[in-house]
Amino acid sequence: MLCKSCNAEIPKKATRCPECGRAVVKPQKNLYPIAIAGAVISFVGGFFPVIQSTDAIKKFTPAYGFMNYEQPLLWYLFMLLLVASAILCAIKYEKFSIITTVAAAVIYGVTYANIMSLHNGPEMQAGLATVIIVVGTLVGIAGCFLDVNKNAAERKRKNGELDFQYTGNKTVWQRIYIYRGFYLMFIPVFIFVFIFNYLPMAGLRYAVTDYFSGKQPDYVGIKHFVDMFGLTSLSKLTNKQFMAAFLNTLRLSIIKLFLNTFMAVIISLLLHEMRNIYFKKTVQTIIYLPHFMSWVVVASIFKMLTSASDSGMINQLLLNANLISKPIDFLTSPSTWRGVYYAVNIWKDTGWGTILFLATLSGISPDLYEAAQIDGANRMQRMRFITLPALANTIITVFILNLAKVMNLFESVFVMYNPSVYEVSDVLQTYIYRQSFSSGAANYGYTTAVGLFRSVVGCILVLICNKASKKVRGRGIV
Amino acid sequence: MKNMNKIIASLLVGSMVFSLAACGNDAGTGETTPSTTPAESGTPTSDAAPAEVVKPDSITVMWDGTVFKEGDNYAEEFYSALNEALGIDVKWTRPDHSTYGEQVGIAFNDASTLADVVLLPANYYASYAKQGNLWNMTDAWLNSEIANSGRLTSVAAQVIDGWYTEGPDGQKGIYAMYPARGNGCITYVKATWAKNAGYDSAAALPKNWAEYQDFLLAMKEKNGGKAPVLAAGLVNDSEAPYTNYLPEFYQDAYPDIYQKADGTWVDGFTEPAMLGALERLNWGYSNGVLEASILEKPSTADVRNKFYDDTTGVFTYWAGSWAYTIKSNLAKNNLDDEVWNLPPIAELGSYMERLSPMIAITTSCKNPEGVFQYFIDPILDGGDVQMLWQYGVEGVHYEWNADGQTISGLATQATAGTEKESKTTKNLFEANLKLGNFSGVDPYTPQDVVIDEAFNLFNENSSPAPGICTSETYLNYTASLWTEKSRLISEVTQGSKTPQEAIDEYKSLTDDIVTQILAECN
Repeated sequence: MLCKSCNAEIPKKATRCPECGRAVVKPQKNLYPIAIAGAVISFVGGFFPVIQSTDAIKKFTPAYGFMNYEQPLLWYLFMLLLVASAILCAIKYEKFSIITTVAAAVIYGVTYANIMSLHNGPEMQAGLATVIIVVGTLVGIAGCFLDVNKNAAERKRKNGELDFQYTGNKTVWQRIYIYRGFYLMFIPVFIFVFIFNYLPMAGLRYAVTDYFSGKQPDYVGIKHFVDMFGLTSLSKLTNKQFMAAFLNTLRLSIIKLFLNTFMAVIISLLLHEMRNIYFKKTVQTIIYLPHFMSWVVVASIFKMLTSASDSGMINQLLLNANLISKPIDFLTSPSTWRGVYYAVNIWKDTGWGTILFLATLSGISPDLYEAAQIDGANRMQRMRFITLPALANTIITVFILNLAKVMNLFESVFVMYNPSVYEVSDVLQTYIYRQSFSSGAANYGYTTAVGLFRSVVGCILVLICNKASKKVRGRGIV
Repeated sequence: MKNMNKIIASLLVGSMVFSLAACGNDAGTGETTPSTTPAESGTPTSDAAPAEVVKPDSITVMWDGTVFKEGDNYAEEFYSALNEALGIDVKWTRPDHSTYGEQVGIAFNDASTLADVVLLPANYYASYAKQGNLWNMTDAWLNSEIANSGRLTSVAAQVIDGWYTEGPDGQKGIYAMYPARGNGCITYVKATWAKNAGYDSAAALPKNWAEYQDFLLAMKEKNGGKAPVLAAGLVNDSEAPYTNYLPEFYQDAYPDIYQKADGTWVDGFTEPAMLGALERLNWGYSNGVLEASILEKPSTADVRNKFYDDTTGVFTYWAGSWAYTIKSNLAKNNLDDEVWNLPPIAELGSYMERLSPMIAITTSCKNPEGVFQYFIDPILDGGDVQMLWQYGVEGVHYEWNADGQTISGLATQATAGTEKESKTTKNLFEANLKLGNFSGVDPYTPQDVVIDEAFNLFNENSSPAPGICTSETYLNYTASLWTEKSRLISEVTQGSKTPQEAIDEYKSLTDDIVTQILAECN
């Protein structure tokens, strides 16, 4: 945590700032995220069907919801109100957000009544939209009440103790005006991020549509999620491939992360112990180089080395040394593919991973080693009792930061896998790639749904890592 | 220092602003001249009198690497000669050949930037026509100059029959054309390897599967234990016909949904013929006659290179001008360039002729009648435009011989002046495969007898590949089905599953899907 007066780092359990002596008042947790979460839940609910077919074979299609409702204006208004709710909460006008959240619920109610009158029949059943939007509305309203009450209580408790050096007792708009220069500089960044990071999110709506090349997207409700999670007999194959890809993504990423981090630490420790500076620099340069090679080149090299054909160097060496009687299918056997994959990853990225650890190691005071040496500590003991504890925080930080990226696995697998090892190598992104581009009949709706699932899991991992980071480092990563 | 920070900050902000500005595009480019033709896209044009067709000023075209490549063989000269001959400004989009299929898929997602004319990969044609992405050119074709010229070749009628596919209205029609036959693959055998194995002449090559097995084993034994056969994967799951790189192993098996001679649709992967094919693949791998890297799904370029550098001795690849390319590459590597063409073994019966890539007019085109009449119909005009599409530009890609009747190819742009100089042999399609004859004398001059030999063998021993299923369920699940089939074929080949186990597993996973597809098709 940082001091509000002097911005110095405050130790976890300190009651006063060690620099300026200001009393540490730990703020109560903000509760407005609950209200924002309510708005988000309702927003997401808008994509789900209001009513849908009862036919499980057809994956509950046809389905009717906001997206194929005859009056799209109501959907836009519904979304606009919920966005307004979130913004109002964020700028601490929570009270007003209750109005917009409830107004959105009312609009849904009107739409629900219309859709039911238009499309309800004996073979139709209620969709998930109603449940989700009701839950979202209740969470949103409850979050607002809790936050408003908390703010009132806190203001009363602090009774003017707030340090206005940074926040002041000014409104949001006054503060924006005061810092207008910064906001002006932020505008291009905001536009850039909005266009390239947020605007494409609008494409997520295709997750609830059938979307073939050249055709208009056709709303199908939860059809693709039914397929992904194997809820009908037709979905058995899709579910098997999807789940295999999902589990492979987690397994390959996490094991790779452990191995790479472990190897990077080991090599950093070894490099740190080197006394010959020229040799150390040379080794560092050599192990950094593979990081700059493209995955295509790396895969080509390792395919040549590990090939089971006559050109495979490793197999030929083993055969000539009479260690094996027939070539090993390193890259085409499910039992060996993962091992080769991890080895290639270690070869490529371990060197680069050592940079942070070496930087940390170079910051350890030589006095500590000197003192330990005087006390009779040998080299292993110095490593165990000085170097490793000093490195621990960096190891955890690196680990947490990389854990948030485990769902982003594509290129390294794509260039190394083949049909023989789909079961152990196919990851979500290669699965999406094949579904999108391996035939002339790609359904972008389905691949968007898989991509959405990947993003949601990735987002949850980021939040978990953020929490872990706060625990370990005292501050989050987002 | 503060000033420096401000300057750096300003530069960063500026660069971001410029990069945003750079993302804008000129929406005006790529527009075609609006037509005054009353006919709507996607509907037959029989009511539109020819006089009403307006010649477009410009046309946008998306094409793969099958016409002269830019920077490789004077593509710009071809473009400008074609513009001059047609009197139309043709604007070309040429995505990378190896990822062309993906680029087509992406292009069709945005109707506002989609080209008027798109060359479609064969397996995209049926599904895109069914989805309503293509203009129905049935009437335009039937009324076209070429269809009524009497210059169509003897095989054209059969090929044109293959163009009929189901449209969005469920009716069959022509939604794209191609000025040549699809061609197909034949098996090339290195004479040196065969001779080493005791086969003295092409006539001694195997005639049936049992002989072919002995032949492959002998090839392996007498050529340093090297596996003689390599292909771009055990099954070509990205392009129909899927078995054309390993025809002797698949024989009568076809691992996709296809229509039998009696008109019924079946799943070829569950047919008894597939059991035999899987057994043969397993035999090939376990006996070391299939090169081990076949499981890694090498690219066709990798497979060609291994044949050129003498790693393998048997190679199934395109008939026609590829025979000459193979021969010349072997010679460049100082290897014996004698290659024998293997006639189809008895169990195979005939090689498979693929459905060619198709030239389609998209439903985004504002003047499809004009584009057909002034761009597509002239491709086989029997005169100057056909010369451009078939051979290229005079003085750039070819020159007339002294007899005034035949032509000779000139050095390609990429190889001119180098040790490995190659001559241009064709532009879009080979003379042997064209569907329309020239009005006068066809100036075709065989570059090398091997081209004709390979083509003649194919011509005498080929049959059309099965059509592609267009049922809705098939379109939804084709990628998943191919993933499963590719995996199972690999596992059987490696011996980790028996053929029967693989087919049983396939059935247990896909029975409902396949039943649904067949119900929709039949």
